[in-house]
Amino acid sequence: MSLKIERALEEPMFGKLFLKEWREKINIFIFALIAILLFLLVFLTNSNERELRELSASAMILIFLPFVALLLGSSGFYAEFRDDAWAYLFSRPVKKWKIWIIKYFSLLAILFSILLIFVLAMQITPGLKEIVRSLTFPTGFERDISFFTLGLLLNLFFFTIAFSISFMSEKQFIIIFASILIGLGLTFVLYEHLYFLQLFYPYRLGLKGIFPFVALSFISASILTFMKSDFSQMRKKISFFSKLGALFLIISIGLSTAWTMASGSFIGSREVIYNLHTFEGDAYFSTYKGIFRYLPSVDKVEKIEKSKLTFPLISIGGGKILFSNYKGWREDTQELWVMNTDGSQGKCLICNSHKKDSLLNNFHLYSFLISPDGKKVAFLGLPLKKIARSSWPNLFWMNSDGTGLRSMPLDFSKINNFRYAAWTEIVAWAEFGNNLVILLRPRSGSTAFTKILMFSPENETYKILAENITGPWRLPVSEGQDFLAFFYRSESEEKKILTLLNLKSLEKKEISRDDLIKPGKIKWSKNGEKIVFLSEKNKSEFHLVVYSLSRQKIINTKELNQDKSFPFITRMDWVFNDQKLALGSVTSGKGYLKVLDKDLNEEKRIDIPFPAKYPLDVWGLNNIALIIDYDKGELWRVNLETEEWRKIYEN
Amino acid sequence: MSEILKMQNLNKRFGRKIVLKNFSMALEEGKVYGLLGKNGEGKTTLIRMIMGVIPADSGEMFYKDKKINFNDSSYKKQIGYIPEDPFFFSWMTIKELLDFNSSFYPSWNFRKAMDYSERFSLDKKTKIKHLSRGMKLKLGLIAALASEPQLLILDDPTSGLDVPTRQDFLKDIVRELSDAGTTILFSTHLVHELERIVEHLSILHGGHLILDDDYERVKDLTRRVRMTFEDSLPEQIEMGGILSELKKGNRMEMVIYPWDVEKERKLNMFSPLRLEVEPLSLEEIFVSFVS
Repeated sequence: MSLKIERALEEPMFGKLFLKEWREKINIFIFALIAILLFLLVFLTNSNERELRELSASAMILIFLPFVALLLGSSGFYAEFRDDAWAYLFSRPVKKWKIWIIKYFSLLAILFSILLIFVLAMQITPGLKEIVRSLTFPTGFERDISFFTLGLLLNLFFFTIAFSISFMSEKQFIIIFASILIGLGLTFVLYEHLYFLQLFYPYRLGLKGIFPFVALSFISASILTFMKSDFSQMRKKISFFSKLGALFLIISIGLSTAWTMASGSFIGSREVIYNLHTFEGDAYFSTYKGIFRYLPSVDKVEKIEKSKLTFPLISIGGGKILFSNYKGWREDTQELWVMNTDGSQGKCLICNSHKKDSLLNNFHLYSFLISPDGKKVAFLGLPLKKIARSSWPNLFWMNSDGTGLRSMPLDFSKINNFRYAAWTEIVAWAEFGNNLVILLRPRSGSTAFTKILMFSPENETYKILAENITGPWRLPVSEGQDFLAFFYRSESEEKKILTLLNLKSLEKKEISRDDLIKPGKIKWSKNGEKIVFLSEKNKSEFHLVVYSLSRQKIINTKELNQDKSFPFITRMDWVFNDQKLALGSVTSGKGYLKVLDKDLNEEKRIDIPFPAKYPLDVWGLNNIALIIDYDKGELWRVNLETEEWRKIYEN
Repeated sequence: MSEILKMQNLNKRFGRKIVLKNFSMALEEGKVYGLLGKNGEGKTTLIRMIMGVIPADSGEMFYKDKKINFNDSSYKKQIGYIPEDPFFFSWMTIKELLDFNSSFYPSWNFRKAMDYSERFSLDKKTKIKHLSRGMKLKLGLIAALASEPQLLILDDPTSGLDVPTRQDFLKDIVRELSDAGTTILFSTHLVHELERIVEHLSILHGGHLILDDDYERVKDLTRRVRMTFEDSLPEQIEMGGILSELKKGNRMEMVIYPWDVEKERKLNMFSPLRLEVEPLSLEEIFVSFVS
């Protein structure tokens, strides 16, 4: 096919058709150029208005340029069908698919020219590139796709969808609206479908993957309709396209599902370090190759579980490691193993969960947690047959020797705002392993409804420990599961309050500060004696704050003069026996580690030896810091004294 | 003579309306075919199917014995097509349009395009949006003729032309092409136009051909018979081939195809006072067949 396309493009009529398209669409090109010039004018004349500059750049990337793409795409064939020119084109001695392809590439060339001009403008306009690079999503999207990439993908996506259906109506605005509705609607459905799969498999296809699948479905349906359908009969044409489109979409969904599943077990897993925990001075991490332990004292990585694993998640406590694994493709073929932290005495706790007589049959298991003494294990299970969002999970708990498996359904529907099932996860063991702390997060709506519950498995009762939880997304628990930290919104005041909960005594310590308007990351020290958190008062004022539990007060605070993206891409951990901090940060594709002394002053800055585009998670082990290269699935360690880097794990 | 185009059992319907039903027809090389039919009988549909503009629901088509499908295109390089209402990109000049069109046809004859432009008095710099319908038809003719077609399909093209151009086109151009061996399929409802040029007559009615024969033969075999009787008319004349029948008093008029001496003998057996037999014009033949 590609050879045929190549030949088609070499034919003399290609040049003529290409020029014809340029001539006919030159007004759109000029319109885009004028808009880009106006944007640049606004941008350059408002050099002190950062918000306006960001807003205008965002609008250009996510709204205007995709709109130009829609205009161009929808103009593909609508005029031909309005003027009856399609009969003229179809009666020429040229294959119909060639007409489609030539037109598509001609208009695509116009679109690329406009995008190229915008990219060039980005390069030469002072400050524009930096602004575009700093644009981020409100939350959690950054690993999926960057802002600028999403803008470019939207351009291609909308262009293709609009072009593919441009022969469906003689009215351009109908094509544009239909493209937006159909394109975004289908993408949303597919994205949700794959997001749902993520419950069982480690990777979802993501927007970058979904856009091409939907677009390819439309292209295929459009070309085949062009080649086979009777264009003199509108109803037949639409029916033909719809049937083909539905068929290709089903194939796409199948392919994307297969891709997702395959990437979960094969492709994606090669590049994934699933979990990394530090525990009692060592680091433990899991990959598809097994479970590993890094011993900083001898600077060595040991393989403590040699079996190949699928989506292995680990939990450590009381000298034992709990880890999960999928035995087969099915969701109910999960295994749960426990072993000593040196890899000895491995025991399968759950190996035949899919058997009909098993208590775990037809449950998808998640949120595994071993107790701090290593004697108990708890996890949740979503019923597979009712895995729709209306179902509540079951709580399972058992001894870590494999005995005493018990289960009970968790139904919190009586709690306000939880008439429908919420996302539920186990946060920690509390009260010396007798009770469990469970987080209840609404699936939609305000996160302020998030609650923390204390659940007693023995008595099958629960009580609400805290409400209006605003973050962080993953509630930080100290290494020994002694303390839990979270922010909640005070009902009387606007500000948020940091709460430190003693998981043994259930005592709460509340820390209120004026600048806790938008609190960020929290990290417990290894000994659980203090925490550091990032606090954002407004868009230009960030503070690192250290609180000591023993002294019951804030012992240090430091304003960070960084660019705006700082809090979104900064991760940190304690190093040098909890005396110093290591911060991982990325700017302009370059990553570095900053070591802050006990007064939070920058002591040194160490460049990271690989290109970094994601937020850099940092794990501290005394004078060693660990960082993952997410692109390659490699683990690096740096000696913070000698600044010597070494790759300690690679796929 | 070999067949240049053959259609077998073509079917086409638009919604509930059946336009073509098991339609079959063959065109022999070098002949001028007249395709007649009332409005809405499917002439344009048939031509659009030949040109690959719309697909047939079923049936087969062959160009020079090679089966052609809806998505085939190479055979169209040898076909000139002038639709009833030709479309051209209005922003182009005549020169640009001819230039654009030339890229589709390897056998495009630039000399011929120029000659015809002069012959039809078309200024190449004129924008198409400024052309009248008649001038657009002339341009369509030039575009079709400059591709040096082996088969020229004309879908009722002359209705918008002025009389001198129509005469020029019918008398001279079609004749020139025919003499040069070009097969012509001329679909029209202006029947009298065809009379001077047609060699083979096909009448489309009710979704299929009700007549498909050499025009000379059709002319020879179609007769109007007028009979006058002494008293009353015979109750019934049982005879094959009566296309139309008109009775008035003691007079009776019939159009019969095919006419032969045996039929004349049979009619004489009814003892008419007078029996007149006369030939028909093409228009009369067409009306007789479709009425």
